[in-house]
Amino acid sequence: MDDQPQSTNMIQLVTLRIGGQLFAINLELVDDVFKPEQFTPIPSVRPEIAGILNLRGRIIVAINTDLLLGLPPVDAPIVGRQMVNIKYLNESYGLLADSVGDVVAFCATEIKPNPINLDGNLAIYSQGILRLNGELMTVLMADKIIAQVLNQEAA
Amino acid sequence: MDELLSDFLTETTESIEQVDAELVDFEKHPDDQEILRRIFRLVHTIKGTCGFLGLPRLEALTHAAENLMGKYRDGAPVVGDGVETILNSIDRVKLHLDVLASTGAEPDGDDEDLIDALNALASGPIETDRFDEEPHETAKPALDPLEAAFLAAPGPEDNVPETDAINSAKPKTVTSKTSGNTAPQAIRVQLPVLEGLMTMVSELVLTRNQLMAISRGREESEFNAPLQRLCSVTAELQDGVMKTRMQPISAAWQKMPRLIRDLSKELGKEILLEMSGEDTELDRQILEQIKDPLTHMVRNAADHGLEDAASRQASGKTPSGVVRLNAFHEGGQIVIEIADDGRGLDTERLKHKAREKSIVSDAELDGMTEGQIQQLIFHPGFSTASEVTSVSGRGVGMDVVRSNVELIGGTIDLKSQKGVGTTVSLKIPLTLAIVPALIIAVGQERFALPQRAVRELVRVNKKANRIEHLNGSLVLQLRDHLLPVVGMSDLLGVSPGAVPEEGYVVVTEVGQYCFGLLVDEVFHTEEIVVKPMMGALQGLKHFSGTTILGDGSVIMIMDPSGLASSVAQTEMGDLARTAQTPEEVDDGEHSTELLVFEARGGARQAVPLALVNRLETVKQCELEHVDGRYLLQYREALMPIQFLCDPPTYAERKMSMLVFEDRGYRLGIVVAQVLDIVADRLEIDVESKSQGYLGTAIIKGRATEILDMAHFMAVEHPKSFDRQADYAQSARRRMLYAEDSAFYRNMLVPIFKSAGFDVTVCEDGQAAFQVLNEGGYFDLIVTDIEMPGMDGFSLAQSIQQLPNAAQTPVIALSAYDGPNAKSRAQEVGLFDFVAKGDREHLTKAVSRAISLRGLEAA
Repeated sequence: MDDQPQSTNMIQLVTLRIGGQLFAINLELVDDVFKPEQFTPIPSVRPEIAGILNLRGRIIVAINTDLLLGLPPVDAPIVGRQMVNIKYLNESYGLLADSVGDVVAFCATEIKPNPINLDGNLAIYSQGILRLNGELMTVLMADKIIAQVLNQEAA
Repeated sequence: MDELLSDFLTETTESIEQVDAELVDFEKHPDDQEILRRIFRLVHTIKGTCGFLGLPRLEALTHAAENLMGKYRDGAPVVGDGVETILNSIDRVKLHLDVLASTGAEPDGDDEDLIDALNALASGPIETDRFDEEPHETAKPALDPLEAAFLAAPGPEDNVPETDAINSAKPKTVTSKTSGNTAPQAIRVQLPVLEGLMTMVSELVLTRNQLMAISRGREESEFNAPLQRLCSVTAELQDGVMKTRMQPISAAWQKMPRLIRDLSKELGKEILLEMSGEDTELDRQILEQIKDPLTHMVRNAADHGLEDAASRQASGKTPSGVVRLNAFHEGGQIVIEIADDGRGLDTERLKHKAREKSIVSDAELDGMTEGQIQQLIFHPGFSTASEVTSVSGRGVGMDVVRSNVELIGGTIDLKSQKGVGTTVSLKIPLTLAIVPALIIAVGQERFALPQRAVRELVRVNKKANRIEHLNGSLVLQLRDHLLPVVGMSDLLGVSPGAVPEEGYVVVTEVGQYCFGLLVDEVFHTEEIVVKPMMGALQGLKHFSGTTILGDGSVIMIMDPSGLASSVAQTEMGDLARTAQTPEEVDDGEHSTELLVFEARGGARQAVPLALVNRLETVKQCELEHVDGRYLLQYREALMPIQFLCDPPTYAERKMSMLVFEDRGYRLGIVVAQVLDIVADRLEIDVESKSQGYLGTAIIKGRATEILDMAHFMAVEHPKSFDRQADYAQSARRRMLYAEDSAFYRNMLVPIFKSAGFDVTVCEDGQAAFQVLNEGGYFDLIVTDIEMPGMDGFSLAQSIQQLPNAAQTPVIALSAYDGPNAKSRAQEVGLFDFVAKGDREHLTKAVSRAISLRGLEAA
């Protein structure tokens, strides 16, 4: 973040790990990153929805990102994992992650298109691929993930 | 001065100020059509309202001003004089308004000078066109003001709820004070501001609750006194803010006199409207929601309830009927009664109707109390009027009223006495935002249950107040009633508490139904702040919202009506069943309740419980052998009997019989033995080779054949299928048909239509996917395999992710029929694979898919 002026082309990404894999979400979409301290599961709800929790008076729906992206399920308790909080249509959704890392800046043009053999579950949410410190990183369209979760309900 | 007038004044004063500002703008930019249109609208609204309120002087003046502006709007050149004159007229209007506000009447005299000036300007160079160009404004002034008045009606139902809310406390005194200088004691506040305030107060209540929770743990604390104060202030603040949302119910009643007048004309009945308790206040939001149900019920009362003058006199009543509206507070709720002194509900006719529409079975009818029979009118698809009049009976029935009322947490009740009248009473919560709730625990999870639904709490354990089982259902003997009980842990799929069937039964009442919820723990009651359900959670039927408790944790608020419908599904059978849509039934796990029985040779077979109408025992000797088949006299009709076991040789031997009923056609199936009722996923693994069976599924770990009731019905009642077209209106199924070839579209669509489908045609796979992705719901998808873009296989594959379509059977049509295609078809989960020309196979596949679908939905 040393050279602000070029920011028109630069995008800032929050890096996170889900199921061991490296992902990134555009910083503009991220409201908050936090560790849930308590958590309420919801009976008989779709598996993608982990439950609800309270963050400073706001109710947040926690989403099992691993399931939604078709990753191997993460078998850790919700409390203690990290959560990337996304605001969508005035409601807050939390994408569960194993850990949340630094914010990195990239040039938008550096994002490479999805390889065509990318798993379909992931491809619909992936904006493209980046390489960070030698590791591949998928840029997630977080808003699309939530839109999908909402859509499924409406259907 | 009446309320209407004072509202008019407040509103008009505001509009006038706006016009003033706009006019000045207009003078600067006379070419700006947008400004002109706005001014025109404002003046037009004032004019209309004046006409409606009987203010001729104002009307004439505004009419002339409007005329001129109409000219300008239509392109006449704007001259400085014109703007000046309009401004003058507006000033005059203001003057009149002031007089009106202080005296309640228009000043004497006239405004000929200005009107003439305006007319002169308007008729100036293009006078001849005047009437042609402005026919709406000038030709029909008598009608137009009325219309405009309704559009602009300052009635609280429109856009002035806030002023009204504040006025409403003491409308009479406030308005007379207000009117002195129209600088108002009532101000308009944007709704979002109020809502925001409400949210903040809600948060405050939460924080207070948190503090209380902390202080509860400590006996002596210096915080106690300030905390007490905080408590009372919060409570007062909450009340105060709540009041801003309040409106008197008269806001919803205002149009009733007019409605009654129109109705009485239309129906040729004399109707008197009596209203009491107009001052009763309730939440704005709620008021909005009950407006339509109220109107509907008043219509009902006038149309169906009241008799005509002749028959009233014949039964010794006054010739004019009375419709009575009454509202009052009762126990933290608002009760609204809509009563008529008409003929009352005719129980016999209700029974007849219910029987005719197969809403309930005869046996159920026999067991019903008068009250329960009357409740039938809330059943979907039930209209008591024998003929549909223009007034009511447009298919919007009492069921819609009920669901509207239940949506806002209210209940609806009906009392009727034949010949004396009918009273419908709505009980509605004061507000939706903060409700007292009982905090309960099921297993490890806590839930809030709104207290309005809770009647009592009963502690149950193995010794006293024991929960008993009746064929798998839980019941509790509560005094002299048997109360149906639902195990909440089963219902919600939460792991149960330590000791099963011990804990508390929360006796819950929704409408007429009383049922118990078995929970593990009951904590305390708390005023909870209802947070609306998040978008992603809206489909859950057992919950109505979320809330944050004092300790900061989030819990779900249970929805008593939603719970009631689940209870009704398991406990009250048929009553709730017909109302279910397939989506609602998908209880998360898609499990189906199946009746498992033993058939010929000890074979395990099953049929979805929902299809079974009754279980009976019959003796062999009661059956009659006619025309090569067995018939039974059952409920004064002959019912064909099918044997799924060998008929016993001993005539007195009792046999178990399942009775099915479909649109009035009955069928009895005799089985060797009824084994069990199980809930399991219905997945047919092996398709059946023999007719009458859909296939074999694994039910509770054992291979079980699933009966195809459609086949048996068709065999026994071929007519019931011929008549399907008659039922097409009500029971049309929806089909999505993706086909790129116009030839096949033309050929197959009529066939599908005649088979009772509403066909949505898409010209390729992509379009079909689009339709489904947007949430389209279909009973069956038929797709061509070879299509440009997305082919049938990929379509079938991609819809697997769509919850609205994943369960929908897909039948693929193809011109080629290689083994590759077959295996691919199986791979992507196609229901069937049919060669395009094979019409017979296709029809079969379609009906098989639909009957299977019917089973799953049931």
